[in-house]
Amino acid sequence: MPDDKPPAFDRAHIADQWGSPADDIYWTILGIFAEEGAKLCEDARAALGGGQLQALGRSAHTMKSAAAHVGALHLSRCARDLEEASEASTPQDLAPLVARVETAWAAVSKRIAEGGPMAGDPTAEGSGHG
Amino acid sequence: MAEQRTILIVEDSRSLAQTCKLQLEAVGHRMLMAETGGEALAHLRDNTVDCVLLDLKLPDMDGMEILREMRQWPHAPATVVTTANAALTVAVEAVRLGAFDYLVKPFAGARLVTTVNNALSNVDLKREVETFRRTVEHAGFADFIGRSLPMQRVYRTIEAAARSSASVFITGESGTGKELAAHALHTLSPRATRQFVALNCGAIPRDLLESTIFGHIKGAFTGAANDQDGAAARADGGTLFLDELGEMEMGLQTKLLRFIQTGAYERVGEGRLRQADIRFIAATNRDPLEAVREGRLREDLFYRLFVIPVAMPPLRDRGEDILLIARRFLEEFARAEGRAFKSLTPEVEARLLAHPWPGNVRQLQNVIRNIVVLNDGPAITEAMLPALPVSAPPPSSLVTGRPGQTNGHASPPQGDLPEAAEAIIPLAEMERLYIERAIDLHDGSIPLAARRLGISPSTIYRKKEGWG
Repeated sequence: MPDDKPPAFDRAHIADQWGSPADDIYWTILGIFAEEGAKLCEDARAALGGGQLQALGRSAHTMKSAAAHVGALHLSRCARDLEEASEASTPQDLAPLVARVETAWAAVSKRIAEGGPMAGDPTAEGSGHG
Repeated sequence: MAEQRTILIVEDSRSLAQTCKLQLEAVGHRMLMAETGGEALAHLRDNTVDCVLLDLKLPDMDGMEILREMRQWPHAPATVVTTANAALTVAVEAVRLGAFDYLVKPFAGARLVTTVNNALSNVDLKREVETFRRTVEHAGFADFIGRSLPMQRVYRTIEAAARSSASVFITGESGTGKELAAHALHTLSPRATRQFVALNCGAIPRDLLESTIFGHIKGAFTGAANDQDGAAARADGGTLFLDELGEMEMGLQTKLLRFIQTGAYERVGEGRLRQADIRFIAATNRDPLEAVREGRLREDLFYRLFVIPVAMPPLRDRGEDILLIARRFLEEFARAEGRAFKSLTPEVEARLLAHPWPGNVRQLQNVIRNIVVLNDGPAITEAMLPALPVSAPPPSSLVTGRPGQTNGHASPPQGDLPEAAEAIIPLAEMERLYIERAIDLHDGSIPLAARRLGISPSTIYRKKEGWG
């Protein structure tokens, strides 16, 4: 799917919001987001399984804001689509959108584990921090 | 910023909330955190919050509901709304409901700090203008009269403290307006729609005080003919003002402490816990720390209540306020008594300003009333002034006594004796007037008045029953 290909993090957005190199708070928050994102994915999956579309929409809403905050814009867009769809869809229609969020989250999580948004980019400042 | 301010962050995303916390802590603010609307409202009730950073989409309620709630408060904190929804209609609605500004997520740290500081400056300015406007227009604040600097400080403390549920401890000599301060704290608070209940612990017989505060059930003690709620039930959701706290016996202080800590109490004889949500205000005209040292006031109770101290200045420290108050009383009493009085002569003004007023505003009120009742004319002249003793004011830590006293006792009031037989009033009536005056001069405290009169409090209670 084309959506799986976009970068996990948008470096220009991070530089704009957090400075370049990103300040220390960014790395602290990225650590918190690593736990929060996993929990939000679990909550979304559980809500889908239980047919609780309002709770699903809430998890997607929080993921949308939190992901955008740390520069994970693709994940944020996937969460936004899920949030909007949760207001007028059935669980069957929402299952692929939940899977899409999970895939995007997996990419973000992997990148965080590898050293953060700048990991592997020799031109990027702040690489390997935190 | 020189002054530390309290910011409440209402945000259910941990990473977003922590970002705001770290960025605002870095510029010296104190932070409170809430993940739900319910937690936010609890923080707003229990703390003095200067600014709220409010997410509009919360797990348990819409942030707009919190804005609507705060809009009804007389001194709501500044609010900055955070939203992932950039739609203009949301921002317009939030501002219409009282928000200072809004931030669309994601937002940069510098933008957050600037917006919050602007919101704080705005709310500070609004409050200063409001206080100034009230003070200038009405020469006072709430039910107070006066615009002296010591009173401006009291007004500002009351305004700031009114927004929280934190306990307040008011100190000040008799007649300085401690109950007025307590009432102002209530009427300016979000609890203003509920009851303000004032109890003078020194004026209620000790064996009835527990039932007066907590209520009782039928048969709990002799004379308890019916179940009856106490002040705790009446003040639920509102404010309970306990004047002369040091007069409360120690056993009851222990029960009061438990009530303040847990919100739970028992009506006398009931054996079942009830709950009440109450803001406590205590007051004393003596040094509370001295009462603690003397073992008359529990130390833990004192510190539980001494969260926000308010010290009422004596009238002698209030300069021109003396004349503002005198003129207001003159206008009021002249109207009530059908007199033509309009003003004070410059000589009288000088005498009033020079007097130390050991009985404070209450004494000034009585002097003006005395003049208005016994005289008439367009202006109060020096000849109309009753004897104004010029003894030094008592130390503020001591109970205020009668002016002109020596060795703790007053000299007989020779100058006030009637000169004509027709002016003599019946002894019982004189006794009543004298006892009521003594109680009044002791801020309503029967035990203190009794001590000064050299009789037992029960004598006064018995006599009061007889007066009906």
